[in-house]
Amino acid sequence: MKPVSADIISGCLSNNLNQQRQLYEHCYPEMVKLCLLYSRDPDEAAALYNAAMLKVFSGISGFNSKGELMGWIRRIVVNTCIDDCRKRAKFIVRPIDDISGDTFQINPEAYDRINANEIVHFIKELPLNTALVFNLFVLEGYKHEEIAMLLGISAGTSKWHLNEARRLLKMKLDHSLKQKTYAHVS
Amino acid sequence: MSAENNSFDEFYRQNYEAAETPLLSVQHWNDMAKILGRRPGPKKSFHKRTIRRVISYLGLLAIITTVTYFSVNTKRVTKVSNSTAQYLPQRRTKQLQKVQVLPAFPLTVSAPLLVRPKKKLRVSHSIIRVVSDTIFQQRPETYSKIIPAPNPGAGGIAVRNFLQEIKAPAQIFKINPLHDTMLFGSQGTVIKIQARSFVDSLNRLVQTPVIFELTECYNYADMLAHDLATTSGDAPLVSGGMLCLQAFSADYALKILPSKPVQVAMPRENYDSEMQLFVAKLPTNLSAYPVLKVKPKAVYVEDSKKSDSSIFNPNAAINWQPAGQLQAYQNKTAFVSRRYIKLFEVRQQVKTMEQQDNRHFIVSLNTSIPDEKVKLLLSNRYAIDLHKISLQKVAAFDDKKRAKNTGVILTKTGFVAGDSMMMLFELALKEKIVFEKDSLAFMKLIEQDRVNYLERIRKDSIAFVRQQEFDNAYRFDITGLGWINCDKFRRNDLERFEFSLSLPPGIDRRYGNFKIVFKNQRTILPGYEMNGRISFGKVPLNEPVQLVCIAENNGRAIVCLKNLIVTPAEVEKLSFEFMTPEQFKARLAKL
Repeated sequence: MKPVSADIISGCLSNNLNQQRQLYEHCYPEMVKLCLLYSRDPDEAAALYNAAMLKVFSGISGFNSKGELMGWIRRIVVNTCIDDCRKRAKFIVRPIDDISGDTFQINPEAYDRINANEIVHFIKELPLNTALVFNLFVLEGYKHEEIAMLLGISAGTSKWHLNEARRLLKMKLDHSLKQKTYAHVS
Repeated sequence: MSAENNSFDEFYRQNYEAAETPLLSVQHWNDMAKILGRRPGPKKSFHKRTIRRVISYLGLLAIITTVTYFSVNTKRVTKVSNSTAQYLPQRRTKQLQKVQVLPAFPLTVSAPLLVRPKKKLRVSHSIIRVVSDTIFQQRPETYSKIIPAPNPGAGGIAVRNFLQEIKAPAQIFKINPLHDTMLFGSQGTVIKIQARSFVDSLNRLVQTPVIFELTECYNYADMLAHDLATTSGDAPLVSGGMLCLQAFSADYALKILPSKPVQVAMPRENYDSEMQLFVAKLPTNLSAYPVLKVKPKAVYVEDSKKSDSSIFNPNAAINWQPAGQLQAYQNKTAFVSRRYIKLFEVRQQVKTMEQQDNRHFIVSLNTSIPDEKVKLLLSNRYAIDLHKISLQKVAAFDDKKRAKNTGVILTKTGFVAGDSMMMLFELALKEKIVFEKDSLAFMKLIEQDRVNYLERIRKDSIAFVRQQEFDNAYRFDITGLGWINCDKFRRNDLERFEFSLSLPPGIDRRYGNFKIVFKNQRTILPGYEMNGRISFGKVPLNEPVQLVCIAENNGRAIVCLKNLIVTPAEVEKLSFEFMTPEQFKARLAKL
């Protein structure tokens, strides 16, 4: 991804609408794709992105120029999405005993026959809380303790949701592979 | 197991990275731009908007404060001053009738004095009372520092006797309280008293003859003789005259029923619509004096041992308060909400539509103009041949009455003026003079007629005000006896400052009577001792005044009359001289 030019940053600092638009469009593909994982439809994702960018424009004066701007923006976007999900989500406390020790191995055929868009589609079909924990753990790299602190749940519940997400995703993946196999045979 | 799960996660992570990126939507940026437009932060017009908002908030705050202040003051007036509340407008239930009354002086007259009139006078226009805007301009009382001693003892007897000698005696009438009565004062005051309106201190109806005392003060000499000033709080007033009304039965003071107000007409020199009724109010620490329980003695006694509270003249401490009665007039016959129609015009238009040749006119039977002359007038007015005009006379009215100073006859149902008349449209329908289709065909005409009617009512109201202006009187309804004052506030004083004078040695400040009278307007300001000087409060700059000082020296009253132009400098070097009451009165009469 191209780095953001200094002119855009200085323009945003002086509330120049054109420069703000350039930054908005520059970050749009990456960040909206991220927001889509935490929302149900593109409009909701765009709303989340707009809310996050508003925070970016308001607080860009506090941005440390030594760091990477895109990472800073991504952190704001993710936090905005987490806040939104936290408002909507109602977690049920799961005991640690419920967490199964199952492992999920990818069918080798999946690498060839499942495309990336389908994967994203599968994630969006997951329950909201489960998808949220899965995204935070897999894509954002949070640990269970951090997720538990972010969402106000226990680490065990976080583990349960992660396990549930893997189970459901594998099930959807197998189901999709079967459908494609039978469709190919017929 | 962990390695397998990691490969599972890695598979999804890689696929997510490779997934399609959504296309930019212009709509999303438009939404963002709107949000950015509303978000807080310094903008070009931010300061201007902020200033405008602050100004609007301050204005709103000022309005709320003003309204609250006025409402609180109104409540305070109506709650605190019961004597003022009883002067507020009362619904008039019965018109007064003029009767002949003879002054009962001397009181030994025993013949019947009252005659009930045979013919009742019906008044179609009368005075109404409106709440004055100046009632809210009262200032807090400042009498705690300037009240003279209520029982001065032997001191001041010479001054009081001097004033007593220039006092005009009160006019005394003996009236029958069971009949309507009209009294005429020697200086032009007219008082109308309704029957059965006097009650005693226990609110029992008085049926025995009542002694009614009237004191008129229309000039400076009388006002000064009664030790009266024209101030309301700290605000100076311009007086149109003062009256003192008192009623006694067997030497005990009586009251008036609030439901039967006494109508007072005070003569005036130059009509001023701002004149309003003020009532006397004494400070709370002189509350024993406002109502005289017994008839006071006519002359002050010199015996200091017998001096009691009746020696003290409480008039010096009177604070005039607005009673909420202005000079205004109401036309009771103005039925503005009703719709009138000129039958004359309508029928003429109808016939014009149906028959182009002949014109049929409806005229009033009450008109004094002969038919031939009516036809001639109509012919000239509408350019119609005389022989094509036909007249129909309508006699729908009786009980006619001619309005005062107008050519219009007022009836129960409408007006008759010359050869034309106006009546209610509903009545015209009932009499079959017009038809339903007329109301539709001539709706515009009716509407125009209504506009003209309203305009005529407006002009009539002006005419009535002018008529009342020539009545030479200010009229008030009062429900309490005592001193009343026809006054207005002085509004044109731009600059006022403290005006004071220093007395020469040998003058006893305690028993003196110090006042300044204004030459341009009838205003009297009292002076009080403050810090060894005589202060008159805040007086307009460059105002021509006359200083009137009556003091006591060696048991003799001495007077100082001096013309002054008010300046900030303190007045000094006053010269007092001995003067007889007659000379004093003559000097004051020149003002």
